[in-house]
Amino acid sequence: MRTELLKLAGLPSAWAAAVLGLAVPPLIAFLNSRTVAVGVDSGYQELVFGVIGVLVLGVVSVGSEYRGRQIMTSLICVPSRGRFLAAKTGALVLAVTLLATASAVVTLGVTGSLSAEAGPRIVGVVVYWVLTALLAYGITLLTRSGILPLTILILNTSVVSVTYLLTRVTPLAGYLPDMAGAQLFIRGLDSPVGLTPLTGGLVMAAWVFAVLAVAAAVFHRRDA
Amino acid sequence: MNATRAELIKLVTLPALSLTVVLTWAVTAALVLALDAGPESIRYARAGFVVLGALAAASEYDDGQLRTSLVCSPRRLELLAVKALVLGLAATAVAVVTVLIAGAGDVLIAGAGDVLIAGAGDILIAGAGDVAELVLTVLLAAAVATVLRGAVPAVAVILGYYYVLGPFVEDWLVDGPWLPAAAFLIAAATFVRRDA
Repeated sequence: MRTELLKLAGLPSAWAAAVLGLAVPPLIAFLNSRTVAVGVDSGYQELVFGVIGVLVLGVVSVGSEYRGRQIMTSLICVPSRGRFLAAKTGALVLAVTLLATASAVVTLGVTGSLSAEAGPRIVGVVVYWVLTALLAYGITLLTRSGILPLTILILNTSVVSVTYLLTRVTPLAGYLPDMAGAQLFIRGLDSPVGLTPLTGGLVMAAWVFAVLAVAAAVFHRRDA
Repeated sequence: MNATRAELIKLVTLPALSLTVVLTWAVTAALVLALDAGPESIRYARAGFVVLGALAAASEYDDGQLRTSLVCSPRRLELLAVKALVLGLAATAVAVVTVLIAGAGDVLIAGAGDVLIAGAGDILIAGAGDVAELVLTVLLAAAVATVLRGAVPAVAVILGYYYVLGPFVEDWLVDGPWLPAAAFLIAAATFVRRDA
């Protein structure tokens, strides 16, 4: 696990991702604060866009192993693939948790909505960021290249996301991971299915778990 | 002329590029038909063009192929110019088809399928701005990928700008042809001066 943390910390793109995750939400919150009135979701809306930082983090955490065959060396050092994945996942979760907590506190500080009762919603933000990072990580593990997960997931972070367009076609789209997960901390979400923060989080976690399970099974069986 | 032909062959034989193009067309068609997204579908199709430009430019950096290319064509500015020209032409063809798909979907939805053939010219005239924008997107992505020597960071930077940060800063930063032009100047300056 310490090795995996070191590897992650040694990647320049990981630090760039951390800067993105820390800077984007407060910046957007600052820009928005001039034009948009303060509401129940001030600050939290902006934190949705900050996941771009942890998307990059999740992607480079695996993607870097597949550049220049580093994965071969890693698997020689840790031949048990299960342990290797567990350590890698643990390192990513730890890094994203720290990043999400810091970014949430700074962003809510900018919008002035930081108070004692914000606690549970900040936990929601952290869970959402961690699950999103794991989703990017799982897809990258499957595709062995970061392009596809980055494109799909960044596109879907945009102001009018593809999943939001899908909710106009079928209400079931409200159960897609980002729509369900956003209910962890967004109160006025425009979604066809109203979920409590807990069920929203569980629905998203189920998606992430499914992707990770498939990715882990594939990783276990194929040539590196 | 040889250099142009070589770059064209490199471009059309990359499987990842063909896959990107096909996926872009498929997603555009799906967005127009299933979601009734209309002109908005071009906005999403743009992501495919970002990937196209980034992959095309970064493919030479994966395993040192660029060194071979530079041995064959040692004048760096000339190589970069030929690459941009070939990529721009190929991107124009892809963009024309994309705009036609988006436009044809609109016509189909409007219930005027029989005027489709006659309407192709009209769709293109109306969508000429979109074609230009998509081609410039490809060139911007290629320039950024050349500077960063990788497709993943380039895709992250440009998509992050277009889809996440862009809508919030558009009052200050006016998007336009100056952006790809500036990116290409920077790419040319770094490419000429650094080690391969």
